[in-house]
Amino acid sequence: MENISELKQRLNAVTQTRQITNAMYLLATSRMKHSMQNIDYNLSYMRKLRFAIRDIVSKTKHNALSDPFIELTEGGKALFFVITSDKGLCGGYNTAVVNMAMQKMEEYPETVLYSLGLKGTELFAAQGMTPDDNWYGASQKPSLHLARQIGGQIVDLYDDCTVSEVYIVYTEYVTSTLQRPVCKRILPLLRRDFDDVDYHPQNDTRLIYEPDPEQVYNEMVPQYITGLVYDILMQSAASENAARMNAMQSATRNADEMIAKLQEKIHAARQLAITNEITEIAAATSAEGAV
Amino acid sequence: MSTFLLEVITPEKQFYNGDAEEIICETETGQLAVLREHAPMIASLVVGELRIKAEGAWKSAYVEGGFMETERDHVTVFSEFCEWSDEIDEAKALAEKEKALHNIKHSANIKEHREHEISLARSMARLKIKNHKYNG
Repeated sequence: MENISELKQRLNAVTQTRQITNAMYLLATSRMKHSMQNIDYNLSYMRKLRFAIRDIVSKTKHNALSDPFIELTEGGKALFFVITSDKGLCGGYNTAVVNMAMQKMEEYPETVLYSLGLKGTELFAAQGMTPDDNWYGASQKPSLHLARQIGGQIVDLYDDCTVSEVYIVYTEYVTSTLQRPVCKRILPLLRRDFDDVDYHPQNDTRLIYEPDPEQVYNEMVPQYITGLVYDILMQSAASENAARMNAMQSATRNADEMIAKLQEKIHAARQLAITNEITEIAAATSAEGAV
Repeated sequence: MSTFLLEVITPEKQFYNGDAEEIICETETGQLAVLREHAPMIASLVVGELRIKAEGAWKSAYVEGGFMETERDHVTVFSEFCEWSDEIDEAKALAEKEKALHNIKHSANIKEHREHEISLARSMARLKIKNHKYNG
């Protein structure tokens, strides 16, 4: 039988851990709710933006736009932008994203790797890979400012032909219990990317472009990319918090089980000790009586 | 006066959603006024002012580029950032302008130079909108 004071010490430790995991669970829940609101709004913005781009694409003949965005050039370098968290304790959230990124990167002879999130950089380093650029301290607070920085950098790299394809690997938020890693092509934008837009043109009138189609399009695409990156950053943050929420919820549940077991053991040990004492006293009394 | 539905949206929030009588925005080639029944158009906007006339009164806002889509009775402005003229922080804009002016002289390459030029344009547009007085 175990020592009572040792058991009590362990009970204390588990109770304290449970308090921490429970607090982290509550924190992750409130953060997740916060990012959900932003996601909802941004989704309606993106829907309208996609609609407008679809409108332009369908009202413009194929060769009228000699834009650099809408064609796929093969054989160039591919940029992979991998979004993970800065902190751990969120279950398999980071490993799932990194595994997916490594799998996809094998398909390309030459890749450039950008890592957002400390954990991603660590996991890549464990595989002997060094990201070409790292971004830290942003995974919990996705801002539009950051999205514009990232979007701008991506478009610049694409513009000066350093890379010919850009992918973002992130965790898509489906529900609070389901998040899945996704590899999304950001550039080049293809016409078919807009095929799924629910689009019913009311009339076939020609659009007027001010000043001209190309310039409008060149303004629109970077803005679309920024919106997309912002959406992805927020989804990642929501997924991270959901993953942490689930991890902390099960940790709290495990702690509860351990506490119950330890308490049982303590009771058993105490009862055993009392029984022993009574037996000893009884034995001593009968021994005295015998004298 | 006949009105149309105006939506001004950014990735973060819905900046304006309501009826408007007229709007004036700034494009590459100059100012552009839009009334109801405007022909379908897509216009690229520059960093500058967006003036909205609703219920007879003009309001002025700072718009950080983007574009505008017009249909007969529906106008949508997509921009990454918008703020009303009375929300503009004048001291901050002034400081940004000074900083950009300083940086332009000391930029190491064309790319940096361009970035500083953009931030100069943004701060100057803010100041202009903030200090603009309209006669009715």
